[in-house]
Amino acid sequence: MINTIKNLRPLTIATIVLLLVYLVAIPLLFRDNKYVLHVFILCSQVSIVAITVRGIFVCGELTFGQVAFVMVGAYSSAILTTKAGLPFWFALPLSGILAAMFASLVGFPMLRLKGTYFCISSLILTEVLKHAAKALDFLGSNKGFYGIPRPSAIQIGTFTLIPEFTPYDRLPYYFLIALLLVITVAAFWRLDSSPPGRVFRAIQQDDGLAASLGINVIWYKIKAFAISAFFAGLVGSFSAHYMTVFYPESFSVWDSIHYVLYAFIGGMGYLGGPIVGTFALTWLWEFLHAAAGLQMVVFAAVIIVVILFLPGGLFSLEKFLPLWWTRLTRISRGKFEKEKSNGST
Amino acid sequence: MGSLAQVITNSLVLGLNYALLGLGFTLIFSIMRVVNIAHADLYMLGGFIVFYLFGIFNVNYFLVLLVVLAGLACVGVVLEKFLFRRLRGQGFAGFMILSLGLSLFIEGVALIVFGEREKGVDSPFTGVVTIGSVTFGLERLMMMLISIALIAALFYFLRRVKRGQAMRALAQDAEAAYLQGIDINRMSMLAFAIGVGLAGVSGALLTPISFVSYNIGSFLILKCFVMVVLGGLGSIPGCVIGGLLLGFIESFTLTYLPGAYAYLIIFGLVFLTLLVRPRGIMGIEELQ
Repeated sequence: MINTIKNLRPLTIATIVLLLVYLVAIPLLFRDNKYVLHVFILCSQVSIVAITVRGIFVCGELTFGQVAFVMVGAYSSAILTTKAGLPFWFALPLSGILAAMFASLVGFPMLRLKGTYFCISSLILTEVLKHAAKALDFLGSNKGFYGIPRPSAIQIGTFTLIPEFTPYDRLPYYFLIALLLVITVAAFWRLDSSPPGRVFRAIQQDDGLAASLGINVIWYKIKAFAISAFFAGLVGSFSAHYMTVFYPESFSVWDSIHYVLYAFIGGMGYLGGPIVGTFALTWLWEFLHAAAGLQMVVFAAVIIVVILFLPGGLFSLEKFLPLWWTRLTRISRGKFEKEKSNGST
Repeated sequence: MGSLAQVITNSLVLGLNYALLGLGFTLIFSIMRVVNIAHADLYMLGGFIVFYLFGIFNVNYFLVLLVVLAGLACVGVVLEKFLFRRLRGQGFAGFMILSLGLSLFIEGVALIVFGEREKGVDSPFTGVVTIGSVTFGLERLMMMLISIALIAALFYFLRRVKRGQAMRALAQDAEAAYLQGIDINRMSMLAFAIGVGLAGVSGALLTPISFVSYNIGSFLILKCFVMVVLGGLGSIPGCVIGGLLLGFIESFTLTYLPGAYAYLIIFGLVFLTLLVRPRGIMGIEELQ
């Protein structure tokens, strides 16, 4: 307990500035611009999942299956709200929990695999879930779910805590997902600097050695898997209630691959890496709309260049920034020990 | 539709073609221990070359096949030398992302050059062949024969030719291979040349009976994964078995079961295989 209090550093200035920009400036500036708000909402959603990808990468495994947990979250939330009549605010955490439970179940056999085999199994998991959803009727079969209720208002007496979510205004959704993103970052920050977080990194470096020290490697990997799945499930639930409609084809293995892509390009060694990667690449893709046909080519070229010349990801450019910036951004770089650690591994 | 024998024949044709596609993938994997997501996009390039040279300019089909083989082999060498070699020894994650970027790049170029719509090509061989109670198009028979010939050639190369044996040595134990004086740069280029060339030929063969489009690669790469998992990652004969298995399972499930269940079964089977016997039927023992 004392240790965790000592480890909680005050929020650095850069993080505060970023929060102000994201939670105040951008909503004010783009209040009526549905398109920009939508892209930011997308960025937030994908960032969360990208952070969860990193959450598993710190255990030394690369997962291409986060979409599976997003799907579990989305379907659970849809079923809980449409068929069981639960309000969204209860369904949201429940979907996360259900996704985490599913991950524990599936993780147990899956995490005995290493390296490339685990990657492929995670990829296949998504496809299995998708085809299962298509085939089974109570999961909506090919039609999926529609008419999923929007989050309801919460009123305490005459005070409106949370306003009604309508189809006409994206702003409440924006704040909701931004809040979820902040919670996710805070959670993984705490996780990284806690004793289990150190165990994860030990496993990442050499799991045989970790096992020889008495660490139950599988148990820790499953924990990381489940935690990551929880947040992915939250995103799934949010997405279901934001779109109000989805069907099996809305999810695809390529989404999963994109999550890994964004996390990797942003920099897996840093807590803020996946966020930077997601925002940078998503907005790049949007800006490239102007280039029409060249969109995909330029996008891919950027990815190739970054991978070849910046193995630590975009975030690793920080070492070119002056010292005062480095001190300011300590939180987002996830550096909680005094020693310097290098980028990706 | 059709008799059991028909379904079996279709399975064989499909399976052999998949095997051809997967062989290149496995070859590259066994030497460099990394997964190339762009592999199926190279299949697509082979298909488009056929579409243009054979479909539009009416060049002799066999000549087109040779052009595809040689051309894509060169592409493979270029890819290895200028892209993948830089990441050698950096772990499999970076390689995967690079191949992902490459895949998107190739698809982007294909989108610009070839357009969005699917393209088909008329079959170069018309006519049917009837053996016993089974009737199938001459096209498929030729495809089968060419696939078998190429697979046999690859096996011969790997077993009897010095370079091929060197590649196998490298795949088995890289350090021991270096000690024997095997040049990894040359071998990597060769592996890529052969692998990519085979992918292209696979595309060239399958396009006349199916179709090609700029994003067919994203769909086919999943089948590659299925195939190599079933047969065993890193094993060449395993890949052929995996390809045939995939062909058979696909044909049979699509013929006799409703559509949704077919792929559920295939992917479910693959998942189970990974959990129970990750190295597939003939895969290499350890990984990473």
